[in-house]
Order: sequence, then structure tokens, then C-alpha cells
Amino acid sequence: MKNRAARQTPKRHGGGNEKPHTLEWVAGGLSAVVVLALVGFILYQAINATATKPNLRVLVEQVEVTDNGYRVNFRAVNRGGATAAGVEIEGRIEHDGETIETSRVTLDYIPPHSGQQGGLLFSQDPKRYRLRLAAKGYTDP
Amino acid sequence: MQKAGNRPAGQEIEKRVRQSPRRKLLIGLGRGFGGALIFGLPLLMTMEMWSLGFYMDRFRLALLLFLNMPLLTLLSYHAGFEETTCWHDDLRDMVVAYAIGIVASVIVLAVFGVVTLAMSADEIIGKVALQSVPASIGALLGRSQLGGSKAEASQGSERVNYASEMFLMAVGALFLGLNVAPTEEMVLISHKMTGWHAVALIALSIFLMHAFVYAVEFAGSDPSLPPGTPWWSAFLRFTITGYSIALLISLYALWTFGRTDDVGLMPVLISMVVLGFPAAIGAAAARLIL
Repeated sequence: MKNRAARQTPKRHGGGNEKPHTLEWVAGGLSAVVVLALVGFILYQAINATATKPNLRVLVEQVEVTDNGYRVNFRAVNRGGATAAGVEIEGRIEHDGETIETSRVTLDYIPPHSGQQGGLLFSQDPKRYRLRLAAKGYTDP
Repeated sequence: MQKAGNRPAGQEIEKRVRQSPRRKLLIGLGRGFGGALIFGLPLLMTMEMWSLGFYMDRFRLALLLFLNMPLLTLLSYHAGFEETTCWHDDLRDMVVAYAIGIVASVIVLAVFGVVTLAMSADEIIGKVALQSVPASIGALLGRSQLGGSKAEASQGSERVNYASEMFLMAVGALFLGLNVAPTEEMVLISHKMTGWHAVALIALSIFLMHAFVYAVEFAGSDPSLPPGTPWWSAFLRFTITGYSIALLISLYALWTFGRTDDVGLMPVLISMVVLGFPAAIGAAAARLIL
């Protein structure tokens, strides 16, 4: 095939470019494999994708003391197959079943099978009471 | 080759320029600033670029700033301020272009009030450093864009020639890709797309790239694609290879701007394909626009 390609190509005066170098075929072949693998993977995912909704979960990572209060570092994870936009995260500190303090934050996007980190600020020490973090809502992007 | 049409005027200018080295230097610097603005302004006026300047990962910013050096040097070899004969000319042009990029970024960001003295040094340096990358590429391309000449693949051995064709494609991919890479829209578009959309976009990107490759072939300006080259040969050696380069550059840009952190494989691949679209057009059009 290579020889035929070379023969089909007319000779150019003093160019020395009549025959594509082996490197060009190697680069082309490798690239074809990469692009085919990409298309194959995306097609596989597209065929197997069921119409799922975002599945959100909020995990507390760390509670820190700041200059004027406390910070709860969290990671919101989306285990569903669709992106959640404008995800509202609410954190509550409860004591004897009563809410003492509430903090909220909105995350722009959480793509499917992805996470997003953030922080909630409180004036009371969350460690001394019961801390609840939950995703309250989202929109489709 | 491209200059054949307006050779007399070009020669006249060349002659006049040669008479005064200082004038030649000033023209070169002027074109550099012009190019820095043409290429850099869309990004200098992009909000995400300002915030990326202070929040993006410092290691990735440093890597970007470092990688820009060999990129500018190689670019200078292909299309510099002037004909370069040896590698330290290219190194000098690289430094000059970087300096122009930094100065242009400082001036424009300061005039916009995006960079003020009230900010921390970390923020100012981060913003300027990030903007200096596209601006310096623009400064180097200023000569080819504004000076009437074009960036051309080196006429060395076939291997060198092909590698430099691929390099110009990568620069073309950066040229269009960088302008949109930092924006929120890249992520937003990928969220709106399904896998089927992504496959359609890949097909569209490859089809348009190949159309551009053929446009070049018909123009007959490229010795690597002489008339009579079978379509699959050009397709495999230029279109597909160019598209992979565009995808790799897109992935690198997304990673640099932190768009891949803690994101699942599928969303990353789709945003790579989304950014790969302008990058592919840029790569394919490289030999027409650079």
C-alpha cells in the first residue's frame, strides 16, 4: 500500500518529498487508534446510558477553626449519570433536635461521577453538636 | 511563495527598512505589540482568565509558563520577527516576545483596573503571568500576521518537514483553542451534550478538518501533499493526526485550567471533544491563518 501511494505521487523537482516517511504512517496509525478508542468509549457509554438523574451525597471532610468561627470542608459527590447544576448545599447544627445554626452554599456544577469541594462557615463549634449536611436541590444544566 | 504577488512593494519596504536598523527594530516591536493585542485581547477581556490568575494551581501555571518557552522558540524558528539563522536568534526572539507579552498584559490589565496596587503580589503576578502566555504567542505571530509573510514548515528532510507541519497544526489548535478554553461555556456545553452529541461533534470536527486539508491540497502550496495523493493518505497522515493533536492540546488546556479535577472520565472526554472542535479548526486552518 505504501509503495502504491508513493508511485501515485508525481515526482517534484528537487523536493525529496515523493514518499511519505514511515514516521508519518506511524503517527497517523497511532492517532487513528486514539480517535477510534475515544469514539468507541463514548458510543459504549451512550448506548449503555440509562436515563438517570443526579444522585447527590454530601460528605464532611474536615472541621477547622477559623479566625471568627468554624469551617466545615465538604465534598459533594454526584453518583448519578446526569449533571446537576446550581446544587444547594445546606448545613445544620442541631442540639436536642432543634436547629441552632444553618449555613448554605450553592455549587455551580457537579458532573456525573464527579465531586466538588466547598466549605460552610459556622459561628458555633459543629463538633460539639450534631452536624447535618444535605443537598437541597439542583437544576438541569 | 505567498509573497510572489507583491514582491516589488515588499522589496521596497525591505530596502527602506534595511537602511535604518533602529527603524527596523521599532517596526518589529510594534508588530509584536500589535500581535500580542490581537491574540491576547479576547483573553485579557475574559473574566475567567482573571480569576484563574489567582486560583489556578501554581504548579500548573509554572508548567505552562515553562512550556511556553520552547513553544515560542520553535515558533520563532517558523515565523519570527525576522529571518533567524541560528538557534540563539530564536532564543532571543523568544525572550523578546515573552517580554512584549508581559508588558502588554500589564498595561492592558492595569488600564482595565483588573490589576491594581492594592492587590497582593501573588494575585498580580498570577494574572499577568497567565495572560503573558497567549500575549507572547501573539507577539511572535505578529510578524507573520501583520508583516505579510507566513509561517511555513521548515524545508528540511521529510521527517523534519512533517514534524514542523504537525507543530504548526498544534500552534493553530492553541490559537483558537486557548481563546475559549478558560471560559465556563466549555464546561456548560459539555454538560448539555450526551454521548451521541459528542460522537456527532467528533465526526463534524474531522470532516471540517479534512475539508481544510483538502483546501490546502488544492491550493497546491504544500509539498507534503502533492496533487494525486490519495484521500486516505492525506486523511490518515494529516487530518487524523492533526485531530489527535487538537484533542491532546484541549486536554492539556482543560487540565491546566483545573477543569478536570475531581471530574468523571466521561465528562472530561466530552469537554475535551467540545474544546477539540475549535482547536481542530485552528489546527486545520493553521497553514491558512498563520
